Amino acid sequence: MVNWLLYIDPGSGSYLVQVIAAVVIGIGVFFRNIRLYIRSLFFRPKKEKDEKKNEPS
Amino acid sequence: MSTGYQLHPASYRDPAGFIFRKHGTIYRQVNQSGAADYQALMDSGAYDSFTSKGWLVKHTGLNEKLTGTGEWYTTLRPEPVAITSYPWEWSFGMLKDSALLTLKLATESLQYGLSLKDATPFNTQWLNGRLVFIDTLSFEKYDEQLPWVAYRQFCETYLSPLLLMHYSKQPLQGIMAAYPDGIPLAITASLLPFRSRFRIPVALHIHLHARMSRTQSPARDPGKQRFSRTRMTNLLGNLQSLVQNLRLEERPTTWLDYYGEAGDRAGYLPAKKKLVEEWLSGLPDVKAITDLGANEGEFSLIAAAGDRQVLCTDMDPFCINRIYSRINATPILNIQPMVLDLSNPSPAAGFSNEEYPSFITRARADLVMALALVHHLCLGRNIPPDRLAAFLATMGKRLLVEYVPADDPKSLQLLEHKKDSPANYNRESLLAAFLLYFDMEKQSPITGSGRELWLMVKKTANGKPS
Repeated sequence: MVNWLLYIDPGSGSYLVQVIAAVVIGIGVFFRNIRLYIRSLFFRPKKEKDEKKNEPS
Repeated sequence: MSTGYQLHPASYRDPAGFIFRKHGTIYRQVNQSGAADYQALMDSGAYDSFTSKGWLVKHTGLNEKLTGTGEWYTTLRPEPVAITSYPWEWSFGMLKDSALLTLKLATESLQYGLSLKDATPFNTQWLNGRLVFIDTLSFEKYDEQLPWVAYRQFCETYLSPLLLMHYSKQPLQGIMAAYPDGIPLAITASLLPFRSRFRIPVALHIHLHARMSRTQSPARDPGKQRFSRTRMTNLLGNLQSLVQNLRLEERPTTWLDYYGEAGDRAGYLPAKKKLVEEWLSGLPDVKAITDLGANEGEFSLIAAAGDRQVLCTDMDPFCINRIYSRINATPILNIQPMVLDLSNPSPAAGFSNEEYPSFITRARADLVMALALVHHLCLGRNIPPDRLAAFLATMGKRLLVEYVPADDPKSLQLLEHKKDSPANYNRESLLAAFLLYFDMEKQSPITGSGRELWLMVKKTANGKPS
């Protein structure tokens, strides 16, 4: 990609923030997955009640 | 071949193409510089997938060089949007749905080797009642090494207003109108309460982002940042869960549940509904209706029953949010809700005041409904009746207006803190004002109230009905 083709300015610091945010979120996802795994050993996972839950409200 | 075309005034930012109008039809030109990304969208299966799900606007490809410009690659004719609306005219729920659609597209695009290169509410519109992404050229080939180029834009145009409304518990459409390109992060960070810093996603996407935008200058070479598909997915997922959890709870406003209360007045509401239904059914040529001061849209629903396109406006964003939820749940596809203060309708905005046309230039209807509204404007806002009539005459060929006398309980409520009602607010002067611009077609008192309904048709230049 050629930088001058970026027609919106991603903003000073915006890329770096994303790297930091992605690392922090990644750590959260890691621990959440562990928690979900442990929980799944003791409880049956609940059935997805409504597919539309993820649709726009 | 004539190449006379009008470039859309808001379509100048993206070198990949532009929107233009020719012979009354809207087209999008794809330029050579956007060709590779456009082909990636079409060839990857993303276009078919997104359009079949109703997320992305459908277009017809035309291999015609309609503009005659050297940069031409191809021409598209997208499905036209009947009524264009802007974020400052949307309720909280409408903006939130637009944000979620944008994030959903950004996430799903990755599967097709694409990413979204911009993320602004202007890229979404309601088309035939469904929220769709209308910018076909927003997709570009995905480079896994790079973070999301539209991240800051998303934070400023979506997250900022949604978070400010969530934390302040106030509808803040006016702030979006003041910052069409997004509320600067530094402003959002300074307006959010201190406790928002303890919510990790808000701390990252707004507070840290604002701080780093201040201190990092110039922007670092994006190629040097380490990013990956997993990180991108996590980032988008986090934004999605944050937006999903934002709420703007209804708080009691004067006009919320207006018709619930009006129902207590014996026979008034059923009589008014019956009259409106009867009169509208006698007007088969009326296909587009603008309902001004629609409250929760009771009468927009009646108007929409006849397969007409209805623009449903009210100044109370909570009322508009209610009707939006209601028409989504049913669903009713021919009502477009819009937050609008008639004493200060959306002005023209953007570069050279041309990018986002004013409400008045967009609102054209066969019939304008102004039910239980005139007293608000004349008594509440002191707008002279003749000026109001002139204003309404610019918006449609016919007018269905409700006269509410000055001694009506709702008028008295408006006049509670005023010394006296304006001398020019009475049946005779109101009627005289409207008859300057309209001719009376039908009039009838409404049972159970001292109110009246007037159906009028606009005079033409020679003074005869149009």
